[in-house]
Amino acid sequence: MAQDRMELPQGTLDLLILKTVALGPQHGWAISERILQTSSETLRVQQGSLYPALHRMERRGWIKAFWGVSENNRKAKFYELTRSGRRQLEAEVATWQKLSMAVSQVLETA
Amino acid sequence: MFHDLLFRLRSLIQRRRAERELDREIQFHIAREIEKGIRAGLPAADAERRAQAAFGGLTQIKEECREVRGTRGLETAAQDIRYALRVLRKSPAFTSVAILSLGLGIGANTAIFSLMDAVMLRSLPVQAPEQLYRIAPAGQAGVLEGSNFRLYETMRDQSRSFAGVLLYNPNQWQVGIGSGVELAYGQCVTGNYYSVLGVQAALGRALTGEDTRTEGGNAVAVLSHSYWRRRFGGDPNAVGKTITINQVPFTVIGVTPPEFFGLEMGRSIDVTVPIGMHPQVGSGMNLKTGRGFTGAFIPVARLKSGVTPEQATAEANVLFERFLLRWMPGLSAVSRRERLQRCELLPARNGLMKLRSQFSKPLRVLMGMVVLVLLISCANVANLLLVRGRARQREIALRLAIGASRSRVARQLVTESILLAALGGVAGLCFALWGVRVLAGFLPQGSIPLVLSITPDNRVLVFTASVSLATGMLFGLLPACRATRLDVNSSLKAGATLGAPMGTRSLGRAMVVSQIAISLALLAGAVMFMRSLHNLRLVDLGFQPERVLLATVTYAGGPYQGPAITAANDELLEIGKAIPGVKAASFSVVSPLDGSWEGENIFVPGFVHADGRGDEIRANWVSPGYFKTMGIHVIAGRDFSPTDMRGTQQAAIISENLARYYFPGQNPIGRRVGLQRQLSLPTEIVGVVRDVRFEGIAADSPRMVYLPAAQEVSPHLRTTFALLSDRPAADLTGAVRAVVQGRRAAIPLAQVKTMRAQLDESVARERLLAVLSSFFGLLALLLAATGIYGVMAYAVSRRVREIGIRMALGARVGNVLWLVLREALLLVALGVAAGLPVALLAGQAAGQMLFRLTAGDPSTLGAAAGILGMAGVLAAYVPARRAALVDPVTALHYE
Repeated sequence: MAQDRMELPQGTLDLLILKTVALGPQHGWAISERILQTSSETLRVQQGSLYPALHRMERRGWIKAFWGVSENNRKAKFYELTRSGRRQLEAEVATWQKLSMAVSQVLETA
Repeated sequence: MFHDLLFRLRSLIQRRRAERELDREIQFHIAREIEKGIRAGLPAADAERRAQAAFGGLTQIKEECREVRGTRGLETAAQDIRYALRVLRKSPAFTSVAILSLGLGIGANTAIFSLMDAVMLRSLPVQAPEQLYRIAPAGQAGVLEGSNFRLYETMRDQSRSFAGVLLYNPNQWQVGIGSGVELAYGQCVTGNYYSVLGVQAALGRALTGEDTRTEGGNAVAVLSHSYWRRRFGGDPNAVGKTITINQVPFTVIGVTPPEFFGLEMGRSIDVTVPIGMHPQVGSGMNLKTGRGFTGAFIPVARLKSGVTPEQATAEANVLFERFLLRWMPGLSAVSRRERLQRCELLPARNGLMKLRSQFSKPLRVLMGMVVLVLLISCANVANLLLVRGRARQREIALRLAIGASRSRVARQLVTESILLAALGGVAGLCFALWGVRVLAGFLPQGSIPLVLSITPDNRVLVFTASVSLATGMLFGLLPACRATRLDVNSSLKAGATLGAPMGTRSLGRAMVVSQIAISLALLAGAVMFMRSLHNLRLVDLGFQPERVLLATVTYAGGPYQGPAITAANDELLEIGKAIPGVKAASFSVVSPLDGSWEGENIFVPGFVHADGRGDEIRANWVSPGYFKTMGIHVIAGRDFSPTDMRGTQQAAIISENLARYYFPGQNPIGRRVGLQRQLSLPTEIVGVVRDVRFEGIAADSPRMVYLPAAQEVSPHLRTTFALLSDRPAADLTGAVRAVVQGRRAAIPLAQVKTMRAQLDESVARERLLAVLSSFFGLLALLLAATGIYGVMAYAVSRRVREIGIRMALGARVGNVLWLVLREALLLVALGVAAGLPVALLAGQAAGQMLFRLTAGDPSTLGAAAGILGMAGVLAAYVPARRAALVDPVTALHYE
C-alpha cells in the first residue's frame, strides 16, 4: 500500500486542509488521517508541512484554533473553518477545478 | 491585515504559551501515531520509533511553525541583543574603550549641535515664525540697526505684502516694585505687537491697538513670565498692581506665556509698555519729530500668506524710496550710499540675535570638526572590531558550521555594533550635558545677561540617536562582512589560531592612515586657530588690562540730572579709592572694547581734509588719573587735573594718531581746535597719549580725543569706573558691589567685570575656536594614536616568530625597534600625505577667521605633521619595545 503514496503538488495542501476542516472541527492528526483515507491512502501529508501550514492559515485567519477533547478523551488542539476560510476554500476549489480541467484537456489533445 | 498583526502580537507576547501549545500539539500527534501503529499490530517500541521518524526533524518543524507565527524577526532581534550584551560584558576592556571613544565622538557632536540649535536653529515660540521679517535699511556699510518711526508708519500703512508690521524698541530701565529698584530689560512696542506675533497673555491681557491710541496717557505694562516669577513670586494678583519704570508709575495688565521672551534670542525682555509711553521712559526723544535713524527701533513685519519674500522686498523698496523723499529730503550722498541704499527683509524666524552673525560661522566650522572626530572614533572602533573579529573567528566558524546562515551571523555582529553605538550615544549625551555648559561660558555675556536655553530638546535627542545609529552601521558593517567571509574548515582546524582572512591587516592599516589624515586636518585647524589667537594676544593694546576692575553705573531713568551726576560720579570715585587694595581709580564714559563708542567731529583751523570725511573721530570723557589707572602712556603734555573744571579753559588730550594726522611734524600741545559739542568754546590740547585699541583687538585704533568729565555740560547717563588694584581685580568685585549698593541713595550698578574679562569677551569667537579646536585636535590625536598602537601591537603579535628568527640570526634590539617604528612612521607619512589636501581645503574655509595668518601656511601644517609623527612614534614605541624584548627561543616555540 505504501508504494502508491504520492507527494502533494505544491499549493494543494492548503486546499485539502480547508476542505477537511470544512466538514467540522478537527485536530492535526485527524486532518492528516482523513486526507489519507479519503484519497484511498494515496495522499500522505508530511507532518513537517502540516503544522507549519496550519499555523500559517491560522495567522491568515482562515481557520481558528481551540483546545478541545479528542475522540480518545485527551486534550487536543482543534481547528475549525472561519468565514473568510470558507470564502478562501470556494475560491481555491474553483481555481483547482479550472486548472485540472485545463491540464486534462491539454493531455487529451496532445 | 489587522488580524495578522493581532496574531503576531499575541504570539509575541504569549511566546512561552505558544511554545508550550506547539509542544503539546506535536506530542498529541505522535501519541496518536503510536496508537495507530500498535493497533496495526506493531510492537510498542517499533511503533514509537516509526512515529518519531515520520515526524522527521522535530526541531525543524517547530522552527518552521515559529517562522509562520511571524514573530521571528522580533524574537531574534531580542535574542541578538541579549547575546550581544553577554558578549560585551565578557570583554570589559574592549567594551569600555569602544564606548569611551564613541561617547567622546558622539558627545562632541551633540554638544556642538546643542549650541548650534540654541544659537541658530530654534524658532521663536510665536505663530508661523517663518513669516516674520525684520525691515532694515542697508547700504554699502551694512545693515542699519535702528529705524525711524516714520519708516514703520509708511510700511504699516502702505504695504500690501504684509499682514502686519510692528515696531519695538528695547532698552534698559530702572524698574521699581515696592521699595526695590532694579535694572531690567524692557521694550516699548506698538499696540499690534502681540497680535502680529500671535502671542496671548498667560495672565491678564496683552497690549492691544487701543493701548497706543493715546500718546503718553496709557501707563500700562506687560511682564514676562520669568520676571513675574522673580519679582512678584508668581502672584496671580500682580495684575492691577503698580510698578515704576524710570520713576514713572505703570499698571501691570498681564503676563506673557513662559516660553515667550521677546523677539531677540539670547536676551529676555522683562517689561513691555506701549510705544506711546516712549517719551516718558525713553531718552526723551520725540518719535514723530525725531529725524534720522536714531536708537534701536526695530520694525518687524509678517508676510501675508502667498506673498514671497522677494515680492515683499520689491514692494518695500518702492515704499522705502517714498519714505526717503517724504521724510528725509536733505539726505547726504554719503549717508545714502553707506546706509540707506535700499531696504532689506531679514528673516526673523529664529529670533534676532547679535551673537548669531558672529558665531554662525565658527559653529559651522566646529560642527565640521566634530564630524571628523566622530569619523576617527568610528575608524577606531571598526579597527577594534576587526581585531576582535579575528579573535572570534573560531566562535563564528562554529556557528556557521552548525547551520547559522552568514546573514544571521552578520546580523548578530551588526547588532553588537549598534548596541555599542547606543551605549556610546548614552555616554555621549552625558558628556554633552556637561560640555554644553562649558561651551556656553565661551559666549560673551555683555551687559545684558545672555539667556540661552541650552538644555537638549527633542531635536538634540533625535540628532544624538540618529548619529549613534548611523555610527553603529558605519563601523559595524565592514567588520561584520569580513568576519563572516571566512573558510569554516581552516578556521576550525586546531592550531589555525591566526588564519586571518587575507587583507584584514591592510584594511586595519587603511583605517589608521585615514585616521591620521583626518587628524592632520583637525590638528592643522587647531594650530591655526591657536596661532591666530596668539597673534591677537601679541597686539599692543595701548593700555594695560591686568588688575583693572570695571564697574559701570547707570543714571538713566534715575533721579540724577546734569550737575548732580557729576557730583555723584565724584562721590563714587572717592568711595572707590577708599576700597582697600585700590592703587588708583578713575572713571570714564566709555571703556576700551566694551562694545560702545562716542562719535565726535573735530575742526582744526587751517587743516584741509583729503577726503572730506576725515573729521569724524571718537571721544571719551574721563576723570583725572584715567591714563594712570588704565596704563595708557602720556607721551607729551600733561594729564587732566582737578583744575580742569567748568568755567576754566576747555582742555583736551589727543591720541598719537590724531596728532600725527592733524598736526604732522608739529607740536600739538597748546593748539586750539573746535569740537562739535562745544563749538562755541575753543578747546586747547594739553596732552598726547598712546593709541588704544578700542573697537576690537583686530580693529585699528581710532583717532581719539579725551575730554575732562568735569567740563561736560550735560553729563552722560552711564559711567564706567576703573579700579587698579594690587591684587587680582576680580577680588574687588564684592567690595565694589557692597559700597555702591550701600550708598544711601543707591545708584544701579549695570555691570562689574575685570578689564581682562572684557578683553577676553571681545575675542570670544577666537577663543571659542582656539580652545575647542585644540580640544578636538587632541581628541583626534589620542584616537589616532590608539589606532596606531592597536595596529602595531597586532602586527608585532603576528610577527613574533619572524622577529624571533631575525634575532636568532643576529638582529640587534635597535634593529627590531626600528623595524616596528619604521612601519608606524610609514603609516603616519601616508596619513599626512593623504591629509594634506584635506587640511588645505579646510584651511581655506576657515581662512577669513584668522588674524595675521594665512590659511595653509607651511609652518602650521609642518607643526601638525610633527605632532602626529611624535604621537605615532610614542604609540608604536610600546609594541616596538615588546618586539625588541622577544626571546628567540620562546618565539620559535610559539604557535
